[in-house]
Parts: sequence; structure tokens; C-alpha cells
Amino acid sequence: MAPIVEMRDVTKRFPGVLANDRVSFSLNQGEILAFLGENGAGKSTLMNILYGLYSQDEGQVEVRGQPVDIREPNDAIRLGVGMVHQHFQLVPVFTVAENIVMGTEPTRLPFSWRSMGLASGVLALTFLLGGVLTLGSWSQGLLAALGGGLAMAGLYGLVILLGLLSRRGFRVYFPVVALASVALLVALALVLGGAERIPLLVVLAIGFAAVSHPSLNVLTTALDRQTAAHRIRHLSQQYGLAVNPEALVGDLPVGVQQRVEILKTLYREAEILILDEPTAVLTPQETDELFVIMRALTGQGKSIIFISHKLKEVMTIADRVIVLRGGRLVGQAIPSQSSEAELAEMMVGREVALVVDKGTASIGDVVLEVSGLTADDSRGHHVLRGVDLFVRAGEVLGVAGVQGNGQTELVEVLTGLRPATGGSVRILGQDVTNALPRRVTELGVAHIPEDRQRDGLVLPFPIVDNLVLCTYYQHPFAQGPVLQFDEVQEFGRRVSAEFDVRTPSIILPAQTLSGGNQQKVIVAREFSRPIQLLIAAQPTRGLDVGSIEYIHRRLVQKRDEGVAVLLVSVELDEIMALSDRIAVMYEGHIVGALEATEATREGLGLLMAGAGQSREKGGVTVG
Amino acid sequence: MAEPGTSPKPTFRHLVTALPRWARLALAAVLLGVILAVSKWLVLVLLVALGLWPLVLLLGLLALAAISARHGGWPWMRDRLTSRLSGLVVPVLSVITALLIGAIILILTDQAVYRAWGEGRVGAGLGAGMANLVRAYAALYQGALGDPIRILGAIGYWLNGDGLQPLLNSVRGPSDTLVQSVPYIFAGLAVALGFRGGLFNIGAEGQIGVGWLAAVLVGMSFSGLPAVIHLPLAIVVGAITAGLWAAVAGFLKARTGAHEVITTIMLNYVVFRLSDWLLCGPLEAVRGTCRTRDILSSAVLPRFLDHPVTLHWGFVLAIAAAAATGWFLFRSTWGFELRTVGANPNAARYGGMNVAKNYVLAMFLSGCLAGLAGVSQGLGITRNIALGFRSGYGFDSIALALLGKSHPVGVVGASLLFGVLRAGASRMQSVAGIPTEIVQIVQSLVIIFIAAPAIIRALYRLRQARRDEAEVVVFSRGWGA
Repeated sequence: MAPIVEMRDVTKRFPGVLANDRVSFSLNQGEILAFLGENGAGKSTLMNILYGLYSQDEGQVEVRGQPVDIREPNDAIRLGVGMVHQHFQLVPVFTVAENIVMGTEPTRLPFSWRSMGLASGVLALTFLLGGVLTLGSWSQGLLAALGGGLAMAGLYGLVILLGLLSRRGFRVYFPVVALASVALLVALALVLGGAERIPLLVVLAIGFAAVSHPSLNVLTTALDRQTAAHRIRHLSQQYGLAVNPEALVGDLPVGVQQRVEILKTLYREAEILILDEPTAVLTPQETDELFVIMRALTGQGKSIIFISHKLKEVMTIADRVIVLRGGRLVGQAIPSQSSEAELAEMMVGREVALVVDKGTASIGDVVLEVSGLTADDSRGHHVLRGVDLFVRAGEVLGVAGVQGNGQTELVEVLTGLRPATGGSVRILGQDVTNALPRRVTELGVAHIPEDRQRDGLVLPFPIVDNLVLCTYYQHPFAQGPVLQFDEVQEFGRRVSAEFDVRTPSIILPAQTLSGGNQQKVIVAREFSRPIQLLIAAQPTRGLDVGSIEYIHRRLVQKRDEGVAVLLVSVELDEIMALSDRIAVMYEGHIVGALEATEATREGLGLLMAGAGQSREKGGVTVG
Repeated sequence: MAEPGTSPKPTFRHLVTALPRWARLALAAVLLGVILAVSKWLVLVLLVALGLWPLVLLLGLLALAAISARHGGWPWMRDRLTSRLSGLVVPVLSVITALLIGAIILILTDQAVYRAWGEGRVGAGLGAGMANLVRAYAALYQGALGDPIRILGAIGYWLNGDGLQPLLNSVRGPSDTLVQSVPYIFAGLAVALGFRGGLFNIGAEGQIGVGWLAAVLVGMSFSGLPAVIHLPLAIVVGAITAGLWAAVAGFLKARTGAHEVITTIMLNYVVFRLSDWLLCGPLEAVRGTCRTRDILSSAVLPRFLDHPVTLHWGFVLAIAAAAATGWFLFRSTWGFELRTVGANPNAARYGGMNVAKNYVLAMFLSGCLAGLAGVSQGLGITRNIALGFRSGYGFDSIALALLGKSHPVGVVGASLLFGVLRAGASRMQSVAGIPTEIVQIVQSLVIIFIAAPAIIRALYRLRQARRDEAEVVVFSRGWGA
């Protein structure tokens, strides 16, 4: 089959970095091509070049055998390239249909035959009103209405005809409309004559602006929304993307929002879809659904580029895998003829331990004890409905479960960030139910938050300031209210070296770091003070294989030092690899608890899906 | 703010830190005494230096060149200059561009030009316009920075033993500039501190009024108090009253989530209308003047020199406030908390900080600083408070904080620039008959250019700075955030 996209020797330099170094590849029609690589390997840069967000320094891009020059996303869209970004580009307060149509409506919707009729009608009505009011005579008003309506219809017709004749669409003819409107006004002024007609002219001008300016064109877009919704329904049926076009995007789960993004590209008639780490934000179920959709798309002739750093997913879905490392293409593979270990080694450049190496736990006293804990989420729903669990020193308790079953809120309540409505939390024998976050921290609790950019870091602040976010007020970083600048710097340098935070300088803002290094900053901060209990929520979300290995090793090291570890994760593999005991959360309860040695993927999966719910409460209490 | 780094003296620093605590205190006291004793002369030197700034700049460059000889000559000096001054390129070009556009507007609004054109004398019209322009900008410069030739002459006169008065007359411009910049510094610091704490304090105008009123009230009362008690009392009461007033907005935000933009605007109106009533009612000294009594002489912020140099101790207070704000924000744990809450309240909560407390604290401190702007005007310039006390310092201060990138040093620099423009404007009006509104246009253009540096970069084909410039400052988060 002929390649639909071919990139040859593409090189892209950023100041101080060679992001892509002579990368060549081709994408065949109807194929799912996976790009595998660590964070910063150059996958996203390459795709941004194809999508026109960056331009390459060297190399050629060919689409359907033709050399192309993609300067901006609009060029890419015209060539049938669509991109779904890792961070969705959706407006939460708009409906699905509005989000999908957004960006296309001013060029397409106002300039249709129907909107011509509407615009002419509205203008004629305005002219009639304006004529009657300012001239005081119905006959004059009718005459003005007739003239105005005809003029508008003529203008619109002209624009539409020009648009039909042109390949570039209607956008080019906005200046024509603007110029024509000015000419029309001047002509009207000459015909009607005299300064006393100025009020009329003003009314005319406002009327014309209202019907011809796309951003003011509320009526026509409102009408065309129906056509849009119809097309969206058609598309979602065709590809099995179940979405309600009238729903508000902000109310939809992440997985459905992603479908909206895919629909957005399909609406723009994309043939080549780039999915940039689409599974990073999805639950396992949503990921499976996405894969079904991807198969449906390729089944109907679309081609997909799938960017990921998750080996398992790539092995499952891809027809072909390209591995990038350090901006260079280091290998290609067909999943059925390769293995995860082989790909991981290609990706990282050395042998990677996919299995966490840990000895048997030497278990101590109970550190964290939670009983009957209840809490509400921000919208007032009861998300924790009586959670009982305990964690002992020197063991890892893994809390598995599908995202949104109360894990987030559980961690927040334990760390004092969310009030409990009932039950109790005891840490090292002390009651800390509804204690302030600082008290919890000072008891020796470390917290790796689920959303590192929202809760764990102050992105505009220097790395070093982020390293003392929880301890800045303690000796030796402060004496009374005075920050000890030198001590803080010294600590920052030492710790960032110890935890291998890769940055040119610790005074650079934390937002300059890659995701893996941002997580290392948090780990460095939390592990560099004496702790008894570690609460880690999704500690490896969005990280590459190398960083995951690193974080896992550090977690096990803490456990071996006698720290009690509560690990909350939606990655079943992570839970199974690290935990000594596993608890499964479902709809705000712990529905099952077992020793890690007894756990199987299937068993846990059933519990996560709610199969253990009918069991008696006494039987499911952990331990 | 001394020039750090030009001549680092670790040996001296070690010497001082090696001393016992009492000795260091004594040393500081002696130093303070000496500075107080010679303050008059220090200020005079400062004013002369401002008036002769090209000479000072030249001397500075020569000194730097002398030092660079020891460090490897020109490359070292060039690095030093570019690293220190690269941040100034855009502001300086902004000012120049704004003045150029101001010049065009001056010519385009000059009636003499149109009159000549109407008579068909195009060249003569342009000539008249240019002459008017030169007159206007010369007045602007002299009003703000004095006439360097006159200053040099007056120095000669004084060295001859013929008295100080001509020198004082000649440095009136620089003095006016500094006097005008005092309220700007305070108010700009107030808004900048708010920005750092994640709060958009639009209420500086009202807080200035509160501070002013409170300070004047204390200043007119307590007859018989010695100045060493009366003056600080008036200052502190003025600042704290304004701070408490502003803290209301912080409290509302912390407790109810009310957005501070709304509450501070509304609190402004409360101040404006209440002061209308107070000044034309209970506090009015003479019927029909809408003005309070003058404050007692023991509460006056003293001036350094005789008429016409009106520079008063408020300037020193303002600089001290800038230094204190900088120290607070960047060197204290309280400031660290405040900035963290401003940059990411979620992370602040995670780090165990009390977000609500910091909102109230930030508004209180912001209000204190804004109040000091009013205090310095009331105790240093007008010595009373009258109905027309609102002169836009509070609203200009928002622009100042933006210009200064919410950093105390930047705010002081921006305030000095505004001081220059404002001091020059009044002279331009009185001497050249050009309305001060022209200067307001120039001010606004400067702000636009600095706020949108892309314009200046495009105009002068500047390359983008290699590293992204200063750290990102969260000016305000969305409504209801």
C-alpha cells in the first residue's frame, strides 16, 4: 500500500537541544503506527511538525506522494491531518456540537444560501424600521427595505459564488464584504442625499454589520447548529463514537471528552489522525473503548499515528512501532514479532527492569488506621461511604480501583486537604481526623499528590523553592520569620543531585522541567525529611519507563526502611508489582482485600468492576 | 538600593558579622546618626546627581572601565553591561517611542500649525509646530530634571561662597520629580504586593484616602506631643487604618469567596462618598472650603532643604518601604507563603499554609502601603485633606505594578519615570502652555508599549531575549477562582 504520509530526514533544533535528528518514516493508509519513546524523545516535536505547529529545520514532508509545506495547523487540516492533543483543547461551558464546530463556523456557516436569505430578510426589516422611523413614511421605508434586501442578497450571492469558485474557501472574501459594505453605504448616502439622512445611515450600518459580521451572526449559526448536530450524529454513528451533541463538555467524563476531540478532527474531514498520548488520562476501560474506536477508524480507511510511552498499549493496538530516543529513530518493530522487554530496551537504551525487585516485607506496628471514614466530594456527593483500612510499618498497601471511586478523596482526607464527614483517621496512634495539613505533615507523613502540577508544585517558582514547600519554616531553612537563603540553596543543590533532578540550574522555574523530573522534585522533597507514612497517589502517572522504574525503586526502598506506604493507583500492574497487600475500592467502599501473593489480574478486575460488593462488610475489612 | 556586585567586599562583611550583637547595634546607631546629621547634604548631592545624570552616567562607565581593566577589559565590561541593562532596553525604547508619538500629537493639535496651513504657508506651519514642540519638551525636561547648565553655574556660585539659594532653585526639577514619585512608589508597591499574593487590589485609590484622612486626623489632634512621637504615630495610624480597610476585602474573599476586584471597587465608592460627607461636613474647617484644619507642626514630615526644594522624608520612607517589601516577599517565610498562595493556592494548602489567612494578610499589607501614599501626601505636602484629594495615584499604581513586573525595584523605577513625567507636565503647562493631558497620553503609551513588548521588538527589530524574561507573575486568576 502506498504511504499516505512520508517524512524524510526531518531535523528540528531548539536552543541547546536537537529535538529531532534526521528522522524518516512513512505511514500507510489504514494503519496504526505507534511512536514509542521516553518523555523528551522528540515524539511530540515530530508530530507538531506534521501538524504545522513547528516547522522543521531540515527535511521533507510528503502527503499522498506530494511534497507539502505545512506552515500552520490550517494547512495540515486542509491536507486531512487532524491532531488530538494530550491536553484537550475544549471549552467546558460549550456544548459538544459547539466545540466541534468551533473554528469552522465563521468560514462556512454564514455564507450559505440559507444565510443569504436570512441576512437579506433581516437587513430588509432593519431598513424598513429605520426608514419608517427616520423618514416618517411607509412608502419610503418599503423602498429602502427592498433596496437594502436586494443589495444584501446580491452581496451574499457574490461572496458565495466566489467561494464556490475558489479552493481556499470563503475566508478570503471577508475583505470583499467589508469593502462592499462601505461602498454600499456611500452609494446609499449619495442616492438618499444630505446630512439629515445620517441617522438612517447609522441604522443601516449597524444592521449590515449585524448580519454580515460572522462573530455577530448569532441567528445564522443558531440555525446551522442543527445541520452541525446532524452531521455530528452521523459521524458518531459511522465510527461508533457515542456522544450527545447537546451535552456540555464540562459535564462529560474525560474519555468522552476525548471522543469529542476525535470527532472534531473527523468533522474537519481528517484522514490522518495524530493521537498524542491519548491514554495518559484514561481509565483502563476507557482505554479499551478508545482502542475499539481506533480499530473502527482504520477499518474505514483512516490512518492513525499513536504516540505513547506505555509498552502494553503499543503492543496491543499498533500495527507497527517506531521507537525514538534522544530525537533519533532507534528502531522499528512489528508488535507480534517483538517483546515488551525488547521495546523497552530500545526506548531507554539499556536493559530495563520491568519487574520490581523487592524482598519480603518485615512488617512492624500499625501506622495508619482508618475506620468508617466518610466524606463528600466538591459537589456534595457522598464519595467515601465508610472506608476501613490500615497500613503497617514496612509494608505497601496498594489501593486499586477504577478512577473516580473515591480514591482521590480518600487521599485528600488522609492528608487533611478535605474534611471528613464521619469516621476516624489515626496516624501513629494519634487522632488526625480533620487535622490541618501541616499537623499531618509534621507527624511524618509524606504525600505524593495525584495531580502534581495542581497540588504538588508551584510551577512558576524556582525548583529550589519547590523543594522546601513543606519545610520552609523549619530549622535550618528559617530562623524565626527569616528565610535562610544560603541553607535553602545548599539543600536544594544537594537533594536535586541526590534524586537526580535533571536541570541546568535549581533556580529555574519548575515548569521548565519534564514531567518525570517534576515528579522527582516532589519525591526529593517528600523523601528528604524523616517520614513514617508515605501516601503516594498515582505516583507514576504520565511518566516514561525510566522514571517509573526510578520512582518504584525509591518507593520500595522507603518500605524497606520501615516506612508504611499507602499506594493509590489505577494502574493494576503497578499495584501488583509493588504491593504487599491489595485493597480494591469501589463506589466509596473497600470491596476486597487480599495478600499480594493471592491476587490475580482477573480477580482484581472483577472486584474493581463491583463484583465483591455483595460481600458482607465484616469480611471485606482489610486484614 | 545600593549597586550590588560592582565591588563585592566579603572582607568587610565578615568583619561586621564577626562583631558581637551589641557592637553591631551600636555601629548601626552611629551610622544612622551620621546619616541623619548629613542628610541635608546627601539629599542635595542626590538632587544634583539627578540633574547632572549624563555626567554621572559617564563617570559610572569610566569607573566600570577602570574596574574592567583588572578583569580582562572590554569583554568583561560588555557582559556586565548586557546582563545588567538588557532588561532596560524595552522600557527605554518604549519611553522614546511614546515621546515621539506624543510629539506628533503635539504638532497635530497645534492651532498655529493649522492657521498657517489655512493661509497656504505649509513650511511656516511646520516650523511653528516644531518650535512649539521643542519649547514643550524642553519645559518637560527642565521641569523634571532641571537645567544642567544652570546647576553647574549654581555650583560654581556656591563654591565661590556666594550662598546656596541659586543651587536650590536650580535643583527644583529633580526635587519635584522625587516628590511626585513618593505616592507612586507606595501605591505601586501596594498593588505589586497584592499581585504577588494573587490579589488584584483595585482599591488603592480608596485606601490612599483612608490613610490620608486617618493621618491628618491624628496630625491635627494631640497638641503638645513631641514630634518624635506624634509624627510616627500619625504615620502608623494612617497605614494601619488603610490596611484594616483593605483587609475587609481580603476577609470577604477568604470567608465568602467574593472576588476582590468587585469588593475593592465598591469599597472605593464607600470611601469617596464618606469622605465627601466628612470633608464638607463634620471635619470642614472653614465653611465652604471642604477642607480640614491643617495638621500640627509636630506631625509634619520635615523637608530636607529650604524652598523651593520640597523633597520631604516621605521619600526616604518610600525607599525604605520598597526595601522592606522586597525583603518581606523574597527573604521571609511570611513572604514565601504569600507568594505561594498567590501562585498556586492548591499547592499552598498542600504545603500546610493557611490560604485564607494569607489573603487577609496580603490585603492588609497592600492597604498599609497604599495608605502610606496618602500619609506621605497629607503629612508631607498638603498638610490637610481636601475634597479634591483624589488624583489618580491609586489607579496609576496598577500600571506601575505591571511596569515594574511586581518587583519592588521595578516599581521604584517605574515610579521615578512617572514622577519625571508628572513633574515635567506641570512645568510644560505653565511655561509652554501645553496641557498636561499630552503627558497623560505619553504615560499611557509607555504602559501599552511595555505591556506589549512585541510592538517595541518589532519596531526596532530586537531579538527575543534568549532566556524567557522574568519569572511568570500571576497577576490575577479568573473570576471566582
